[in-house]
Amino acid sequence: MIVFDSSFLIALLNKRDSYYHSALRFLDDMATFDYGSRVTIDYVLDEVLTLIWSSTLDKNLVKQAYDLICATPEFLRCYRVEVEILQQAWDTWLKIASPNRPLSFTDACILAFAKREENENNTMVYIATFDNDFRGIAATVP
Amino acid sequence: MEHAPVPEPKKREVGTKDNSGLLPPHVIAWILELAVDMGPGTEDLSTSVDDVLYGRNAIQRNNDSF
Repeated sequence: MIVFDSSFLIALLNKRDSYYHSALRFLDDMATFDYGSRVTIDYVLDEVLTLIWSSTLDKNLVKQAYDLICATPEFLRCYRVEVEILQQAWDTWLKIASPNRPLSFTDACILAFAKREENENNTMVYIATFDNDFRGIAATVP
Repeated sequence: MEHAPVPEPKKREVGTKDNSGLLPPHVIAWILELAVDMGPGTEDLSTSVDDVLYGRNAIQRNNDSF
């Protein structure tokens, strides 16, 4: 399984982004290698839509982001964060977040979701991200 | 909470019951069409999510001023 973080999805949607070409290369990688199911969570949807809206005030761009995340199941499925994940995310955030690693609660939710999937389905879970806050505490790609 | 080294993913054929498996070319083509130039000032948008949404830089600046 691969869980997509906001940073990766935003890079994929913005040709001007410094990581746009890195994101494209990883798309090609996913056409060659099987990472399992491609998923994200509703907290990431919120971050992506809010960031694009606040940065561009362009409703069409927000709609395109929504379509990518919620209306293209062949690419990505968006899951709701359940109560059990919230509790795990809170514990994770308390343990890891610090001034040196200012992990957001959304990042903690991604980590908790990934951990749950690893444990319940006995599967390797990657996090597609350009966010350094995940380095060393999760299997990140690209 | 160190994570084990990232293993290499396995190669597999296109076509599975859900969205796992290889990413189909027509989906890649559609994503390429979806991308746009979001304009000046968005070059670092992907890596500044927390800075923009949660004001991380502002908090750091405030801390530095004390």
